Amino acid sequence: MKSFENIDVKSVKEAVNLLQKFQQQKKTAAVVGGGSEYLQLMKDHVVEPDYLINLKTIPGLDYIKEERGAFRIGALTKLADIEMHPTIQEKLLILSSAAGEAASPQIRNAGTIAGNLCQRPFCWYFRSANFTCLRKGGQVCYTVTGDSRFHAILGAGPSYIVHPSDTAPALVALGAQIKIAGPAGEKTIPLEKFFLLPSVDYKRENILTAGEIVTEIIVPAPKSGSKGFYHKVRERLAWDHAIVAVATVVESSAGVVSHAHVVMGGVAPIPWRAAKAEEFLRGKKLDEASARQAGEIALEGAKPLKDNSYKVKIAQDLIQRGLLASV
Amino acid sequence: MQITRYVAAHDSGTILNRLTAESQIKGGVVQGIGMAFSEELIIDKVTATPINPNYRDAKVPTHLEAPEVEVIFVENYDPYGVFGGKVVGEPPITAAVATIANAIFNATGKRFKELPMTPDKIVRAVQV
Repeated sequence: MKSFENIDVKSVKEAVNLLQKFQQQKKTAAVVGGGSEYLQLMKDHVVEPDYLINLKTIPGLDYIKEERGAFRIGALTKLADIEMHPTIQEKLLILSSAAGEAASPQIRNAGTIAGNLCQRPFCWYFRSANFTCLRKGGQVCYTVTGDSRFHAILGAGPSYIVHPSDTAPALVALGAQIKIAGPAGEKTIPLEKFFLLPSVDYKRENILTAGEIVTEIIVPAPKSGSKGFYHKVRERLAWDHAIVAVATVVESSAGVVSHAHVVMGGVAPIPWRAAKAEEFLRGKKLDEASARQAGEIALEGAKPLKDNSYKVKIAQDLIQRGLLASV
Repeated sequence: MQITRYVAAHDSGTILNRLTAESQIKGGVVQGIGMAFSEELIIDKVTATPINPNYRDAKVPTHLEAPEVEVIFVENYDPYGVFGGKVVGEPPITAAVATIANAIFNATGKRFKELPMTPDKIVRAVQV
């Protein structure tokens, strides 16, 4: 690992100012919360920053509050705290279980919610020092000719990564918003708009630009009569990324859907919202057949690579199972 | 896929130390589970480069993959072994892989002759 300097900051403003200063000096710098993800990137020689800005020393960014019909989650809140929080378990079970499905207990005790949303891809070509892939400034995405068993089937190209976050599909399904602090002040945007497709920019996974830091996640409290479900299929039961993950949130009465949210993880470079399936379900009675059909609609237009066509079938089955569990 | 029950019966001659002998069997079974379900060194065919040389992607089993293993020793005296003992060693790994492949055959009707038996291979085999 290349040597670097660690700077403990006391406020978000200080961190933003430092990021700007280093950018002007043409130095590379990065902000770190739990560090479970960023240190790994450094050890794998994917990134080699001159400065690490430690956000953990900023007081008051680690909280879960319920106020005015919404949950406010501080950027430095650990995944384990979200998983175990009694009110989250009671009112946002889908988020608690998504946080609990991430990584391993050790990582969840260190990793933060903002870090989970800002993860870099876990594509093995991207993470390997032996490959200078498209996303690292190279010419090709090695997935196209290489081993693509864990890669994207929807919304990909020219890069075929999948978004690795477990909490992101659940939060998008819940209609969460994300608060970002930057040189121009604070802004709050829907989380869905936070992620970037590779066709827009294949070197970044989200809209954050130099000097911007995630400070808070805002989750509206679910309407009464709504139910959510998160399920993840993977090779190993812990410390493994999703082959396919599905987050479903359904508002219904007597089995008839008024609003459905279906968001997939592990299949696309961003948390993939199945808008057509959501539209199809509106006003329908949710049963085996309609849930099956929603799964098929959600996977229309999937373009598997040579090794990952199996994800289509798994995704369809999971959506069906998720929807049926959500009424 | 999840293993619901695992019974390992071994003829290891006279058992000299039951606790360590049972632990050896359990350890071997968990290694076999890794071999059957997830462990693999994956080589990029175009560049002939390993692409998963780390514990995150090479996927050794975790505690959640390890079931409670019931161990049965078929004890008998081996006249050629030290104090009548035979071997515990690595046989549990060999048996585990075949046992799991047979269990998958029993559940799906499909024979898998390539390791590890990952979800992609199983979905493909069952779909056809």
